[in-house]
Amino acid sequence: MEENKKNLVEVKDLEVSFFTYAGEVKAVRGISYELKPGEVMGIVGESGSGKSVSSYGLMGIIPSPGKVIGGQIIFDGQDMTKLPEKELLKIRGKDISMIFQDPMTSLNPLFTIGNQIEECLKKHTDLSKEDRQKRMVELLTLVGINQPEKRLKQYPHEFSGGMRQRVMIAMALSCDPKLLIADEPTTALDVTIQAQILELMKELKDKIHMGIVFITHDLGVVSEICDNICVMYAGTIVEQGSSDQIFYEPKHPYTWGLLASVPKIDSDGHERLVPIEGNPVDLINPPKGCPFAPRCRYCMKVCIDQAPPQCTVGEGHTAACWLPVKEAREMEG
Amino acid sequence: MLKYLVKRIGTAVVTLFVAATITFFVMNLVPGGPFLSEKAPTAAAKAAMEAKYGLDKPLMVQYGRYLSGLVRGDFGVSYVQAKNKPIIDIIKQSFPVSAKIGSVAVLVSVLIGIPLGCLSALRREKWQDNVIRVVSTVGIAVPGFVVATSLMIVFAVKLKLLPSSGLSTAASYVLPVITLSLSPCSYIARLMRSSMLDVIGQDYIRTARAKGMDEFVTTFKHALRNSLIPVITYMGPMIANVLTGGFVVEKIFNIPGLGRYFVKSIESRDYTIIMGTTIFYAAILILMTLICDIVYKLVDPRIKLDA
Ligand SMILES: Nc1ncnc2c1ncn2[C@@H]1O[C@H](COP(=O)(O)OP(=O)(O)OP(=O)(O)O)[C@@H](O)[C@H]1O
Ligand code: SF4
Ligand SMILES: [Mg+2]
Repeated sequence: MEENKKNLVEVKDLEVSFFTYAGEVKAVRGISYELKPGEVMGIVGESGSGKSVSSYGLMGIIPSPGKVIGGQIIFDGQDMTKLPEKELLKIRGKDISMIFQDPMTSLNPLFTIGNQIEECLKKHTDLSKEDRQKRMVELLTLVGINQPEKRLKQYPHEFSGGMRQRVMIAMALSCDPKLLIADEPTTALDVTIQAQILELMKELKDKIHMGIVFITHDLGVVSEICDNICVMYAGTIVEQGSSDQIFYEPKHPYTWGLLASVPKIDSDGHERLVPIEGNPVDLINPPKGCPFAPRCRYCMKVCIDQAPPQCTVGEGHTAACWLPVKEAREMEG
Repeated sequence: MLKYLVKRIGTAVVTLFVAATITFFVMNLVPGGPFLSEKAPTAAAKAAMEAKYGLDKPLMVQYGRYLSGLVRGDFGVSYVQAKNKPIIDIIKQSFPVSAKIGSVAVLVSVLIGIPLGCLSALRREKWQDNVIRVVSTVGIAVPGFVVATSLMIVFAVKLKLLPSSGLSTAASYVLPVITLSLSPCSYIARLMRSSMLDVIGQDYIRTARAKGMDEFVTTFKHALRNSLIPVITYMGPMIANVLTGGFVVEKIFNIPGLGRYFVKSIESRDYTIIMGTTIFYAAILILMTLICDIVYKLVDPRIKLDA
């Protein structure tokens, strides 16, 4: 019966490039995924793999000199890449909202929290002033901020990092979005605060019926919250499947690497992934074969010459790799 | 707030005292004196003059007298330019002239500089930006007297469109105001451009976009106020400078403002006027900085005044 539900988001062969002086940076190179209402999709990958850029594409806020150069993003039946800016303005902040990596800099320092949340309500709803106030108090309570009336009158600098992220979440939820994009919402926070925010996200996920795209570079974080996971590498999705499939039956060498790398805590208390050996791909001149080849322990000749196919390795489980292809292994001997 | 004000006023008094002291002694170190004009007065006449104004007393005595005068609001009298006229009267008479033309110039600089800076930032690397950048660089680089004389030659002498001196009609404000505001206006435009560009790249602007705010709200609510902060910092000294009269501008356009008095009194070694105007200038500067700091606080809630 899950199969019958209409997709909330369909990303099809999305390509995004930045046209810089150095050349065309192909940040996202043809990714596709689908999200049903109420589901959580995890997007995992190391820094620079195109996680943020692809999600900015969903909202139509790719910063210049970036452009969607191919593919479609169907949200709620409409192609976001074709909608005029005026229509996008109505969707952003209402049907799709977003929380960002760094809560310390994501709020405008010169306006009160109340002002910044109310702005969103004013734009997207017809609530009266009193109703907006009521709604804001309700929102702050929902995200676990005490004394909401007083807090609404305060400025961002009067909040700690974790509290600011709660404010960002409240703001994102203010107009009952159908889709919430969370771009590494815990990365910039202390470990204990990270756990609290994650706990909050899980609670909210059960309370509010909305689709979530949860971006992270830490597989450990997404395991608990995501239904499905896309593993991104160099602007492509290298493996995609249900949370269980990715964790218990991973098929792509890059995913193996991600799972093997244990998060360690560095001096400033932030979790960091032990990176997989080797350098990230040059996105201006991406290799014609498998982008992971230079860092892959299982690399074969065919990997360097030809881009790997999307292999179906289970139900709804794909991996872009030559390894599952029997002929490829045989050729290698 | 009150504690802060008291503290600032205390600092201001000390600053003024230091300014007065430095000017006093520097003035006395410089060779020459007020009664050494071309006509070379007789030694007796000179001695009589010096005795009259107490200039024959030891330096420390003169200094003490001067300070105690200052405390009572007495800047002394002019020696040369306006014989025996109290400096305070000269300031009262000429400062409003400078202030009037100065405030018009400040207004013009702000009202033109800020929009130009914004436009430049929002049209980055487009032709508008390029034009504004070139013009503002020239505006900063060309000295006032060049601007003043060029304007005068073109508009007053050649085209005979505008008067070249005095302040009798509204039209006579045009050239001095342009001269006075060209450099601050250009500077504000450049400052505004760079701070706007900086702010536009900030995360909270992305947040505003993600909330569905249109270009107008993003620019004028979220970006503008943040990018004004560096401009406010610059405004304090700029206003003080323009208000007290572009020295050169008043001299060239023959405007009876404080600046012109200042230049003339340097030429004629009219010590008391030099010192009076210097201290007055320092006081205005301090006042403007204080006002700026308070405005700063009003704009930016992160600033704590009692820190
Ligand atoms: N403004 C820009 N100009 C040029 N290139 C850009 C720009 N923004 C992003 N990119 C390129 O796009 C690629 C993907 O960036 P993106 O921010 O999506 O990475 P990410 O996966 O979100 O990484 P992180 O974990 O660091 O947030 C980067 O390699 C970067 O080179
Ligand atoms: S295609 Fe080849 S190089 Fe790429 S991940 Fe698979 S085995 Fe490694
Ligand atoms: Mg990112």
